[in-house]
Amino acid sequence: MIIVTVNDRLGTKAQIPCLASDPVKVFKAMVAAKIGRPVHEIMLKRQGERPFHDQLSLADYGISHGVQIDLELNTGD
Amino acid sequence: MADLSVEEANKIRLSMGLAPLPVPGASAPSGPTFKHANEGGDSDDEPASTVETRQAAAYDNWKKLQDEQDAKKKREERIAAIQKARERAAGFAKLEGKGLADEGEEEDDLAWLKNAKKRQRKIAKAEQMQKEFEEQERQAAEARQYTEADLAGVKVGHEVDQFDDGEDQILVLKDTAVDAEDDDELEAVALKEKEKLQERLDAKRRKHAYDPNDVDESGEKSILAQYDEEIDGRKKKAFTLDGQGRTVEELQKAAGGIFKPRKVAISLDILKDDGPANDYMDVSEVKIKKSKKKSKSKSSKRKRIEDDDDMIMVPTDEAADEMEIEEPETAAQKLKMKNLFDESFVDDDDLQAKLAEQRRQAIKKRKKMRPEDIARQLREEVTSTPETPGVVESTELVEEDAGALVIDETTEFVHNLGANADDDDDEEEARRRKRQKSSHISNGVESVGDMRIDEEGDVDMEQSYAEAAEAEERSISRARSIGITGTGLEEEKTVDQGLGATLALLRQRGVIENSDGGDKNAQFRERQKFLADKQRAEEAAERLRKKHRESERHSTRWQTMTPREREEWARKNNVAADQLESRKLAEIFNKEYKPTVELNYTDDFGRQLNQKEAFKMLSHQFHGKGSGNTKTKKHLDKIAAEKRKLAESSLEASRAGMSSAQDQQAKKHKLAGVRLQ
Repeated sequence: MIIVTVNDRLGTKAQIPCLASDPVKVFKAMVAAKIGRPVHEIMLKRQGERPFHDQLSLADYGISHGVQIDLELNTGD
Repeated sequence: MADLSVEEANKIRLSMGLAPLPVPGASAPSGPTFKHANEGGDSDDEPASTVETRQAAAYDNWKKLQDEQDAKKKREERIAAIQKARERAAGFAKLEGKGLADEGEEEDDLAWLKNAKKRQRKIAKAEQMQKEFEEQERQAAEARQYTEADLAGVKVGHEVDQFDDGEDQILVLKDTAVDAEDDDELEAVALKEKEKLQERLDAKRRKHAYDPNDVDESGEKSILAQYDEEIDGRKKKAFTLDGQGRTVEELQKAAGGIFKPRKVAISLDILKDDGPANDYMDVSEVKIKKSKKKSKSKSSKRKRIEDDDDMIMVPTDEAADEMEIEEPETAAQKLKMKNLFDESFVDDDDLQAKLAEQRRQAIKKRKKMRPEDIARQLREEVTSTPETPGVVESTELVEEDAGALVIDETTEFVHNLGANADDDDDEEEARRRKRQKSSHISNGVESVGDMRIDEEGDVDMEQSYAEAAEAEERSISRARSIGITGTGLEEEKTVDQGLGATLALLRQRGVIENSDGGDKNAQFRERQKFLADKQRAEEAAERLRKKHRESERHSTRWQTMTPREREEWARKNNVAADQLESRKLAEIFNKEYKPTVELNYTDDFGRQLNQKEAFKMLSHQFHGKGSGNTKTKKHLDKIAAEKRKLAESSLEASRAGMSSAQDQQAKKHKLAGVRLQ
């Protein structure tokens, strides 16, 4: 189990326990449950990189224990 | 620790269908735990869907691959081994059977040696047999000759009469397709080509449907024969050899016995005699009497004319003959004339007359020259200086003898070159003449110029006016060509000889134009005179005034006057004198002052500008802007070129060779241009 920090740098910061093999989709659901925002509005990315795709797993993005992920608002485009 | 508690997270995970997170503290499973049986089944559904399964499978996969490769290698090795064995077996199969050593009967070496002779004999016999067979074949081939008989039935693709007699033709087999049905056909390449050419020519020519000149020799007439070729195809000209020196067609014809009425050629010459007489003479009948007699008569005529002193124009044409019928003429002359006329009836009479006259004049001229030359020669022998060149004499003779004067580039150039030599010989003459003059006091004759003077001081009256004129001309030409050097060009003046030479140099270069110096001089003088006059007049007036004043001062009236009055008086007098003076000056001005107005513009380089350039400069100044870059550059180049030209010698050959110098010279002397190259 790893713990990943999600931060939108606007005052929202959450730590989510998960597995590295979890798909991003599941991770997003957990983030949504934590911060109270619908899944489709959540966009996750590592700093300075492109947003995560739902189909890939966290391990594919090289996310391990204690990594911080940027949280942004997904406007759908 | 984590904001999201593990329980909550697990709830979510379960709802999403994922494995729950292991809860750290709470339920460490007691005892050994086993995997669910169905877990493998789950993973079977989607093998290698997760990293772990993939990682777990990695070694197996690698192992499997390795095994496969090993198996393949082994298989191949086995196949190769089998192949090799098979090949070796096949190789040995070839070697099976008896070898050389095994062939003979099982006998010992002694027996083999005994049999050797027998074997040798056998071999020799076989060779002989072979030879005999070959000989037979050769003889058979020789016996079989290729004769006419072999050619029987062979078609030849030409007409019989196309082969000229006595000319060897080489016939070759015609090119045909391999699968063509028709038999071999012989054809001559040369003839074939000729035919093709003829065909092409015919095709080019327009074909007339009806050709009256085309007589069909065979006598076969068909209606609308011109279409036969299109309907039946081209008629093939061919004959077949029968092997006996004749053609099959001939034989058939002979057998068929087709006799056609022989055509008789009828000469139409008889009709000719009845034709009406022609108005014009046929060219072949005309006989032109040839020249022998004529030339003789002409020469005789010439002789007669030469004999004549008074040079009457002898008429040669009929018109002239009639015109001068009043003049007394001897019967003989008339007869001669008649002869001449009769003979030259073919030629143009006017032309004849003209030519005759020209010839006569030429002869006359020559005759007139002859004694003169002799006289001159004699004279020169008398007065001869030892170094008198005979060559000059002879050249002059030649010059005068030559009937025509040919002027072309070469002669012009040679003339220019020869000016030098001419000059020499002219100088020679001058020297001679001077000597003559010095020996005789004959100043009066000098004005006559180049009249020849005898030893006795007599003027040579035999000398014709023409020659006198010629001599004069020569002297002029000498004067002109006095500065011409050996190169045929003038020597350039140098500055070290003085101002005059410098001036001449500048003039040669064209720096200074040959201006109207006299005019300028006169103007200058006039101006100076005017100034002097003016000054003189002023001085005179001043003197007059002074005298007047002095006389006044001595007068009684002056003595009695008060100073104020005196002043007044003097002033009045002065005014009057001034008026007088100015009137006089004005008079002079009006009469004599002629101002010369010359507008000179110079540019920044100090060059004199001509009208155009000056206008341009003023225009530029007025508008406040000059030429563009390129134009300015061009202008500067031009100035530089001018400077360079001034700096170099006028005879400088480096730039454009001799020709430029020559051009310059020619321009200066107003001669037509002379080109060396």
